[in-house]
Amino acid sequence: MITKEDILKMVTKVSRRSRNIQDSRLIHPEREWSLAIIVFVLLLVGIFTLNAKRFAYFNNIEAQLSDETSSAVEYKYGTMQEVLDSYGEKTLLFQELRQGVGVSAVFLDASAPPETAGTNSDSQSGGEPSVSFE
Amino acid sequence: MEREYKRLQELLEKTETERALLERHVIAGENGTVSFLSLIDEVADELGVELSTEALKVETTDEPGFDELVVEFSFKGQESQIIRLVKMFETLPYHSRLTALELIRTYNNETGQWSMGGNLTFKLSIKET
Repeated sequence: MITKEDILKMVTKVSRRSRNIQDSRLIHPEREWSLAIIVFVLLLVGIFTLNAKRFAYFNNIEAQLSDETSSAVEYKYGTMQEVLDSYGEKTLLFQELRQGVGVSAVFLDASAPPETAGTNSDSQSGGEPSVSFE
Repeated sequence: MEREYKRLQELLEKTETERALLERHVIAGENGTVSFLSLIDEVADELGVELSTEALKVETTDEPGFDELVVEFSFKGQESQIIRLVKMFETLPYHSRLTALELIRTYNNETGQWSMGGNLTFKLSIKET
């Protein structure tokens, strides 16, 4: 059973607690302004650091391009010219052969018929035929 | 980076003519293959050689953007014209090579003339289109 003494104790306790409630204001301009300044400064530092890093990266981009990357875009003019010359000669030779210029195919034994009578044949494969061109 | 890009662009413009010339020596796709076979037929007709295409297949290669066309021909005709035909195959102005050749010479006692037949395998680079 709650006695008068207990009620008094409870009242005292509640009274003490209520005395401890510091501030019931909704706005604290000083504290919030300080907080805003701190957040702003932190953001500023963060953004500045990021930008500085990006600047350093792009500022040194030329140095970061390796020799391999640079040489990959080099054009071999000499080789190209050699290839073009070679194909130029081939084209000329092909055209001459097509027109029958400077062609004379000579078999070493073309004039001599084979010793055996009737139809004779010989063959070879996988290489140059036994003919000569002049 | 920008300088590299500009350099590449300049290089492309500078080598345009040479690259176009080089491109003429590589057969491109199906159209190129048809043109090549027409040219060979035309040449064989001019020489009076009977030529037929026995096999035609495309093989993949390690070269990116390029395949290899393998063509097998059989032919028959006068030996001098056959030799000229073979020589023409060797000098075709395309990125190609003659990989196998079989020649059969035949002497006819009745006419006293040599004739020739044979088979030929030819490989050409073809550009994927």
